[in-house]
Amino acid sequence: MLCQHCKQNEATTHIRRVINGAAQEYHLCAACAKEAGIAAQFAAPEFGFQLSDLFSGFLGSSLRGQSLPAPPRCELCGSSLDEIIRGGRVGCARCYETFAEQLQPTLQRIHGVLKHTGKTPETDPAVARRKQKEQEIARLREEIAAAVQAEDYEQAARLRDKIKTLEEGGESNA
Amino acid sequence: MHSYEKWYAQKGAQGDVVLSTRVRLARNLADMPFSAKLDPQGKENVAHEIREAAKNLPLAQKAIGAMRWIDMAELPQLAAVSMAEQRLVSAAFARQEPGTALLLRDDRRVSVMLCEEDHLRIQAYSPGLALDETWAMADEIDTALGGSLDYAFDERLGYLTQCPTNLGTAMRASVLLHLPALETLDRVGRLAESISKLGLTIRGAFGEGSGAEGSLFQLSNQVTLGISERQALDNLQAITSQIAEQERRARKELLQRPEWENKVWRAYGILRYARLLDSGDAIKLLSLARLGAAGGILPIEIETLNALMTDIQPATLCLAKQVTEADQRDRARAEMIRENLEE
Repeated sequence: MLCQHCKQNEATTHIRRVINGAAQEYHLCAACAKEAGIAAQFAAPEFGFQLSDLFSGFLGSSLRGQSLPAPPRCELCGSSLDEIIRGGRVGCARCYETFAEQLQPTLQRIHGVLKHTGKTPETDPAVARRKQKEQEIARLREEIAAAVQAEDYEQAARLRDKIKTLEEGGESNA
Repeated sequence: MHSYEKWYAQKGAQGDVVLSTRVRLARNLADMPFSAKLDPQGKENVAHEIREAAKNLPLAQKAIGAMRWIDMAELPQLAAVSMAEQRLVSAAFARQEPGTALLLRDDRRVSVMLCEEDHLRIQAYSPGLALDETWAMADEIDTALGGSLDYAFDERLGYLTQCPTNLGTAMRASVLLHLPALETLDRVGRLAESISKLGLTIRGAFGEGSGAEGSLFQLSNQVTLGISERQALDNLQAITSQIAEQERRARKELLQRPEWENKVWRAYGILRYARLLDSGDAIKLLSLARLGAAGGILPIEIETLNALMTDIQPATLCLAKQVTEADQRDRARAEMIRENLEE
């Protein structure tokens, strides 16, 4: 078996780690294992390395020599790339966008192909209905604005009632 | 209380080998920091948003209306640990971090941990091998909640999770297997190797490190990105059936040996008459008794043993037997087992 990380040398270090019931396996060559900090962890008096350490080890090594400057902090949660690397945890959904380029090589190493093929919120009928409703309401709001602009207040009132019906969970017959 | 009322006591499909099935989905809200970045107030806000969302949707109301809302911090510690022993919550969640909450269906076959590692961890359980049914239960709750919540989702990466290893479907489906014969014949290690090549993983369900307390193993899918839920479930179903078949053959081989027939009967004898049993001893003996019962040697129902394997765990035992002192536990445990094995 080839090392998952460098894909060049024979993997000699095999790690299996279970976190919250989810097991992960890593097969690394000696050099990559050392780079990911595993050798040091095994030597520690207490055997207790975290998957996050491994993740951060990977991330750290894949970032070395990278010249792309990372955005300093995620706007939503305030995480810096450095914090994500050290903690081995992503701060929020936005971080995946903010640090997309920096995270990509690591995600590829964990998962292989980055192509989701499972369930999506969009295919959920309930979500689809909600999104449709939201779009409908947004469209009606624009029409109201246009009606007010044209001083057609009757039409605006009709549209407002329609929005009310929609928001109360009823179906629009528009 | 009759032990059969508990879902984990029931004998489901392939119940001689497969104790139970669990499907877990991780979900997060798009506009909130993940759990680790939230203080207790932030966690409460997330829980509140989810609770409100659940109220506003007819579909969610139907699915979730029958669920109880539990503020973890307000739960007595024993009750929280007992939930972990019953596998309703993770061990980490049983630590009752401030701000965390649990949605629990009355029959305890669906639970939603709020602000565990992810904002939502939807879990569904069934006795025996029942991946389709269990998936459908988790999927229903997910769809219901997703109808009024904005889930963190990316077209390429799937459901976004705090730990990048869960990206994609963010689904872990697992089966709890009783493999005393394969373990005795030293075949689990080899099994684990070939299983990992198929995108699955097997580990001891209880106990630390490589030891599997009571010969109970958990087999689950490992790959979550680039594979659909359906594929992962089908894969797990096929491998589970194969392992169960191997275990049955190994059991036959084992139970033909006189020393093993003796072992099983001795375990039964100790379980029926012992006055003190610690949990390690008890689980070993119950595992042997389960092997004997499934093989038609011992006059015990599998359901009784399934229930006991969970109910003798420390916190669950203390709650059931109203025991407070640790040194009374072994006596209470032996008593509980005797009561259940009376002829």
